[in-house]
Amino acid sequence: MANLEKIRSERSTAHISRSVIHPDTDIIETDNVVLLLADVPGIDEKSLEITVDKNLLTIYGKNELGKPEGMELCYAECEPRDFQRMFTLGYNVDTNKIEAVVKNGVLRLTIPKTTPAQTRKITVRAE
Amino acid sequence: MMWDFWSEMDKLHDRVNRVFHNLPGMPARREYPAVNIWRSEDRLVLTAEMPGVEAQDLDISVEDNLLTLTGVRKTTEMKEGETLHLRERLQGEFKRHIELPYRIDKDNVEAKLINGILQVNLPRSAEEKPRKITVNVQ
Repeated sequence: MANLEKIRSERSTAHISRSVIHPDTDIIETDNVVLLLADVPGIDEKSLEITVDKNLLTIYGKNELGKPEGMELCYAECEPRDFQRMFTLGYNVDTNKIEAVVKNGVLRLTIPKTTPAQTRKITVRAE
Repeated sequence: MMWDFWSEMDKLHDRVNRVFHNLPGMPARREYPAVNIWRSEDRLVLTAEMPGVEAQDLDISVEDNLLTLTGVRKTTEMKEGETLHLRERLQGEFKRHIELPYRIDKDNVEAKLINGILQVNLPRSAEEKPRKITVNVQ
């Protein structure tokens, strides 16, 4: 194929173990929520696993690069690989109310912030 | 909110490696979007990862054996008072030319965008299909 380097044939990729990469991520904080957007092309709601253990948030997605039926791979720049990334959440978020939506290969996590505890003044009694 | 320090170190390591891989004599610099090309006897199929790109923001054109992908990845909109903690996702316009090994029947090119992966079906032009040449015995 002119101008395109032939990296490897489909046959040879079958033996290579799947690699895992960190998805590119944007994190935006608003008054009420923390928004996390991660690029996970090829991932749908069924191939995505999100877990929260205390304040450790883990995203794992199994990438199924669609193989067109009856076709042979002749030039490759992206291999099938999985996405995984861990984030340590602050203590000012409500991990029970995280919402996750995946659209067009972008995962959008909405993490609500908890209202900061009111500062309380403690009166010191003299004895 | 904090992100994982070691994950970030790994990421940085990846980026440094990428810089060194782009030195002359090393494999070609990766253009956006990364593509895979599949073939069968009568057609090619191009697949490309483009998460977050909407179908209306993508333009595909085919001229002879040259395929051009033009599009834009929209910025995550920020309102006043919002804080940006991390920005890694690529954004902005992109254009990529891909030279194919033969001419394409451009009237029958079909494309679909599923879960951020583009798939373009590129049938070989009829006049370019391999011909069998009969050898006459004299």
